[in-house]
Amino acid sequence: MEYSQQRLANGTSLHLLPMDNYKTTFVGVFLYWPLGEDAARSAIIPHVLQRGTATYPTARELRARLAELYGTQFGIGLLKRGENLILQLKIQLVNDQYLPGNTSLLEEALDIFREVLLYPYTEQGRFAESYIQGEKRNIQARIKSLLNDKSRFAFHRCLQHLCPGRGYSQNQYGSLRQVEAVTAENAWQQYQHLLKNAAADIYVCGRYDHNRIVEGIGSRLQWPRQPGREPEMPRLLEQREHSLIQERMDINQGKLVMALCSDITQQSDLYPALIMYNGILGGYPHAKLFQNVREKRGLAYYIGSSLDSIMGLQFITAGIDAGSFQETTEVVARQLEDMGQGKISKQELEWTRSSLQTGLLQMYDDLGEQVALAVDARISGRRWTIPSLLEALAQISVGDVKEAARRMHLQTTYFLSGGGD
Amino acid sequence: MKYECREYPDLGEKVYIGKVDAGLTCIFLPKPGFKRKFAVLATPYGAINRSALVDGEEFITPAGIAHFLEHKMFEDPAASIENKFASYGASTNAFTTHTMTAYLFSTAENFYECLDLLLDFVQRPAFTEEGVIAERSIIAQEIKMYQDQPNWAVYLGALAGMYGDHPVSEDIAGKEADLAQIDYELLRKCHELFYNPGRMVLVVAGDIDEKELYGFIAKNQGQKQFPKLPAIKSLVPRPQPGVGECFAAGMEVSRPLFCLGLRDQLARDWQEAGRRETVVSLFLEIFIGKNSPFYNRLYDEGIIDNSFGVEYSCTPWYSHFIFGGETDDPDRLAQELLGELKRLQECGISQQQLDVNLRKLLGLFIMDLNGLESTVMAYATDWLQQGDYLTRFEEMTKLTKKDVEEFLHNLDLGQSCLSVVNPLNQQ
Repeated sequence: MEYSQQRLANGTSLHLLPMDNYKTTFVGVFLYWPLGEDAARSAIIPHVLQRGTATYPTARELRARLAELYGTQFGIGLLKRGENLILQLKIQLVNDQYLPGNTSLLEEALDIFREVLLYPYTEQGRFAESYIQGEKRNIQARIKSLLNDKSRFAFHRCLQHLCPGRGYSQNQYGSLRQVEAVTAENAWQQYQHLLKNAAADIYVCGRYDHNRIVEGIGSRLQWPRQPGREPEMPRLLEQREHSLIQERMDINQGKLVMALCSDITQQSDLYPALIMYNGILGGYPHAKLFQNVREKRGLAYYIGSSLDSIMGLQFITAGIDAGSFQETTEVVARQLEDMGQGKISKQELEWTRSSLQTGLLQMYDDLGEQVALAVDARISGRRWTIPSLLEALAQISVGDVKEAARRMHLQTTYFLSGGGD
Repeated sequence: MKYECREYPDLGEKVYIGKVDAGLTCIFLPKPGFKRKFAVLATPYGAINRSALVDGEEFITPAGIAHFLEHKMFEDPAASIENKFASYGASTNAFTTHTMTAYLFSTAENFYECLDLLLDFVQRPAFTEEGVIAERSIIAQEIKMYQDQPNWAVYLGALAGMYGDHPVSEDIAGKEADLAQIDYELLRKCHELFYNPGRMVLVVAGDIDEKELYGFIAKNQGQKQFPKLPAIKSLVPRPQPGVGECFAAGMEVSRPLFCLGLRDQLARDWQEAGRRETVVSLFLEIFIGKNSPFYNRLYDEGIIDNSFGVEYSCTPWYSHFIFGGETDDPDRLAQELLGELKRLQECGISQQQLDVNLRKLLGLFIMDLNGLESTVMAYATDWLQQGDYLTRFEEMTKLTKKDVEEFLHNLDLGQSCLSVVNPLNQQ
């Protein structure tokens, strides 16, 4: 099955994907906004929306109503994709057919969705001061707690060195300073501004009745908008000389993050080759990095690579002893060279191809993956469906992978470690 | 090979249950429309199963051995097991908990090749003496990695406070010093004893024909010789009564991490444990679920945030709550939690809150059935604990106010222990 699209009267795109292996219906409203200086003012919006509505002024009352609707899940999300901040409001509810009696769960759940999105609880014509203060505190704690997870912390530090000044180097919550500057008034202004001006999509997936949901959404989830704005198209990072950054912290296991830039993104024809390249280098236990760094030399507990294919970036991450830094980076460099020279065995190529194919087939079952795929298409402007990717992957040769590898440029190596060598 | 079908029309599910002559129990959950296929092979042998009576003789092993064995099952001198799965486009994984070890794979194609491989690599160990020696340093790295994680340190602190040196409070991977005592012979012996098919369960889910599946499994098992199922009596000690000192450590964290452990009475057997877990799942929603007045007061006052969570586990050897999260004032949070529990013990719960939260639980149960992996894992875990996952739904619908209040009444609030990880440079 593929998505079907339609446009609501207010210009919002509605994307529908029936998935009958699900027992639930998912509805998500996504607002896209450029990641920049106002990130914190935007990021707080979904947090404060879920604190209360006109009819259910406290989170407790709102949550009790959702519980009554057979545990309808209401959630928020803040996603950084490319240089977009995506504000997400989502519900998931059980399809009526599994519930006793003749219920109208869908309509009742959409009523709540409408309240949360369009009729928040207000005091003096704006967000309640106490809700804003509470959520500021929570978001600041969240930003600070990055320190508690050393792998994530190292990754974030690497990004800051990779592209200082770019929206991409920011986290989705904004900086502590930006969060401090949020007020009930400027968050309210931002909320009105985003509702009116941000690119907006509604995604529906799972088990649902088509007519019923289109009617339910059309009559509840529309608001006055100025359509026209699209999500931010990705801009590639500037390529620079390689830089090495080493930082210290009291930890046992060192965290290595290497960032590579390229000009291959989801917009380019070479995208399937990029996926193959990443898989062969570090996407799987059979990949070069895992085999050569961990299995053959015992240098790392974990090592692998991942892509941000919106930005054309690849990240190699590893957990290693401080004393193994030199040897590990040398072994990694050798694998990168081998990739560039097309030293790829038939086995590496074929195993990666079939692992990627399995991964793609499994995406058919997964609601979250299906939504992510559609969001990527929206941002990159090029739609890679599961069948189109499967077909492209089947054609990839060593030559294509070599071409992708040659376009990768190691830009930043970041290492966080505890002891000396 | 015989198998029966149990149907759950309200949930839109059915399950096939069969047993191979050689002893393996095989459960199949048909999932029409799914591309994904998933299987897990599990044994009730985990980190706490360190000593046993085997045919009347005591058999004692070092901490971390179940986890070590799990790692070594993936060694194969011909080609690594991961690579064999990779050649089918599948992925594999394994994990060890306190009470079980499980091996699994997920694939979209080549399902039977993968199933063959799973049954073979778990039932026919191929690891070597050299491999065992090399593994020690890999596991030592893993232990180190966990030691760096403040969340793990604070969690283990709560377990240690509740259970002292009982095996449940040890790191599942053991300590570095334990690794040296684990050798090839010992691992082979453990495999022979604890991986006998008579003890294990295979759970499969996907869009698969059940006749073909059961025929295939019977054939695979028929080709193998297994040693006689030895008489094993697990000698997991009963924990000492009472709880220990509070645990506190300093680590590089932005603000204090908190875990409050609260011991509950041990279950008489797995049946009672499963039943109590169902009662407690409802109780927790009423006590501290997101729609409870108590949760919302703590959240509004900034004492807890979204990092707050709670788990409850109940077994014949340990039974407890662990409340955890980040907070600026761990002592205050601990007092609040115990205070509210005391209040509920005295005042009871309202029928209205029970009804609302019961609807929530039923809805969540149906939502969980969306996930192939989560359903299979829940089935395997429940089965090894002598339960049947899908029957829990029916049990849930029958829960009453009396069930919850009886549970509350039996809870001894004196059995709590606080564990905290503080920031290093706190002035």
